[in-house]
Amino acid sequence: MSALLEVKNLKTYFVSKKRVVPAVDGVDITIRKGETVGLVGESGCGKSMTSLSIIGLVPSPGGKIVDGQILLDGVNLVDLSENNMCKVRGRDIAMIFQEPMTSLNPVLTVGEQIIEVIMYHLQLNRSDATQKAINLLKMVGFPRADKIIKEYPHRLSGGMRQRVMIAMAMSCNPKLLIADEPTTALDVTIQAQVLELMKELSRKFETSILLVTHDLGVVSELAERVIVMYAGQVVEEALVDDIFDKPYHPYTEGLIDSVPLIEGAITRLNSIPGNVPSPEEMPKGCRFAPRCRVAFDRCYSEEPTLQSISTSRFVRCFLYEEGEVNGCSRL
Amino acid sequence: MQQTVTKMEKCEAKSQVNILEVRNLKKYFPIKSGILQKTTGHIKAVDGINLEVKRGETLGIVGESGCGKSTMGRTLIRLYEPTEGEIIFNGNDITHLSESQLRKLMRKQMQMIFQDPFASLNPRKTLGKILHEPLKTHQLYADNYERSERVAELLETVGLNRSFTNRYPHEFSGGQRQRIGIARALALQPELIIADEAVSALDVSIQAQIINLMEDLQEEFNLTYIFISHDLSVVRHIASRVGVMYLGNLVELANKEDIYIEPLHPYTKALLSAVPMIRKKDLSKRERIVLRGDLPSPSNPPSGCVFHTRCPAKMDICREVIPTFKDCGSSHFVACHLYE
Repeated sequence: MSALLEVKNLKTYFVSKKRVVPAVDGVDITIRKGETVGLVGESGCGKSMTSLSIIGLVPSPGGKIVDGQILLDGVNLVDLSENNMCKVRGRDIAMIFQEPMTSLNPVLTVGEQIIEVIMYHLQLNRSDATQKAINLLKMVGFPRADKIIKEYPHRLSGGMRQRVMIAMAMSCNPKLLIADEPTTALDVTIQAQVLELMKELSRKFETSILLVTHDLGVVSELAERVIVMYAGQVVEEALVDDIFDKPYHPYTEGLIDSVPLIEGAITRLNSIPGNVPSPEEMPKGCRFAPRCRVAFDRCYSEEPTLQSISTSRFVRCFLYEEGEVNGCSRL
Repeated sequence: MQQTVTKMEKCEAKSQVNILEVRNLKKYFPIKSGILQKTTGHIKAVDGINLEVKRGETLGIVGESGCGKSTMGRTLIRLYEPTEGEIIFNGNDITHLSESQLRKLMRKQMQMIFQDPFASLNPRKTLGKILHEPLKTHQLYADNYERSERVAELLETVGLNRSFTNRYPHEFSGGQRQRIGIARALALQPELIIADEAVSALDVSIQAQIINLMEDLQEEFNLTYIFISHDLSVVRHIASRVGVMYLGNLVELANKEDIYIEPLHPYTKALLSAVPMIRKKDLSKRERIVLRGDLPSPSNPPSGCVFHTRCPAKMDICREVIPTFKDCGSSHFVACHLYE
């Protein structure tokens, strides 16, 4: 399978008069056609900013992609003009946001909002677009779709709004769907509905999904590959089975051990001490070193690079310098 | 029924006195409409809850948003006036006490930790002032010097630096703020702490720190927790008994292991199966029950069993008769017609 999206050495910085804040600092991501990739990390690690960079919605002024390439089917999105980017956005790349209430327009009916997207990108007339909108809403599980298109967002529940967002995102059969914390605002039973729906859609339309989330459970249900970010950088990348079975990077390990399991059995949670460093005061050397359980002298002076362990596995840590896989033992 | 259980347990262990007893607790909020603001209906946020909290235990309360778990927490501590029912704390009926009596009798012993560490701390007060206030209100300690000592001690207890007293809340991260919230709750040396989604707003690594802290404090000060959360994994970790709420009602209440390993109520089963799991290997073992539809409106709850509109095991009787909340053996309470 060929790569659909290739992000190479992406750097998104926030520049003000006083200082430069590197929110995303050299990130590489590859997503193949039909593949679901999870991008995980804690708040402030740059995962949302990475996804906003890909879809070209970096908050401006202030934020700017200063370096790197974002190749979608070989076209570099960074070089596109705003006009051309508008044509890509929504048609080739669509996005679902965390809070479905704030991302829908409260004064337009949900039908109006979906129809607008379809008419703009697919050049359909109004009645065809309306018909398509109804079909889309049926597809995401509204039995009375012809009534729903006349409803305003505030009349719908959180799960229904998120399904409207998914319908809107899927309206032009995008090649890539970016889902930024799609289920974080939802209850577990509703979350289960939305996750099932996303799984089904990606299978049916071969849509690639970049799933941005802090919830490792959601990632392990939906994603095939996982990329772990910390402080603006990728620290580990692996297949989903491998990473939960045997995490390599001490941060990934800490992250997994911090999660209480629904199966129980752990008596005490292994927490990671301290907080994520803010981008303006990055520690010298390895960015995780001050919180790391196994940090040694070298970690405080030198910055590790992303090492390839196998074809599908990368880790940024000195413990694996020569491709050794023995350094970090699980507690 | 409730009484027979109490009797049984009294025989079993006399030392396990109930710190809190709740009988048929209801909290309705009026819906007002029109220019005259006439009451046209009620939101039945909490609709007849019976439960007992034993000293030293952690009772987890789980449920989806809108099920009334937070309203229940706030009614228990009398931040909301209960519409009906009784709250008995340490043997005293506190349901109808006035504000000043409350302050005398129970405020010191019952404290709360709130969800949002950003909204629950006054941004214009320093940390020292925030922690001084409860001590002053309750006229504890002789003078300001002693109080300051206590504040510094509290900060150390929750793992913060004692020199932080002159800082403002915005200078702290989410996890640190939640520690401040915990310090404030501990200031009066309470017996019971109600934690309403205390770790939900935090990142997992920070969440683990706070959970560990709460467990340590429980051991050190012999605290009783009512831990309200929508996160079933967190509750499984911290609680000893768990109650499951749905639409203002408690549908199941049992020891943690019984709830998580052998859930009885169809809602509990669906809720547990919906939780995304981290280990992929276990995934094949369980079947996911996906509930159709949304939570019905609490202003007009369904007739009979409130869960019948979404229940996969619905029978005819469920539509008409409200199931009783009863013991199915070994203190496993469930409200479902399947177990009548």
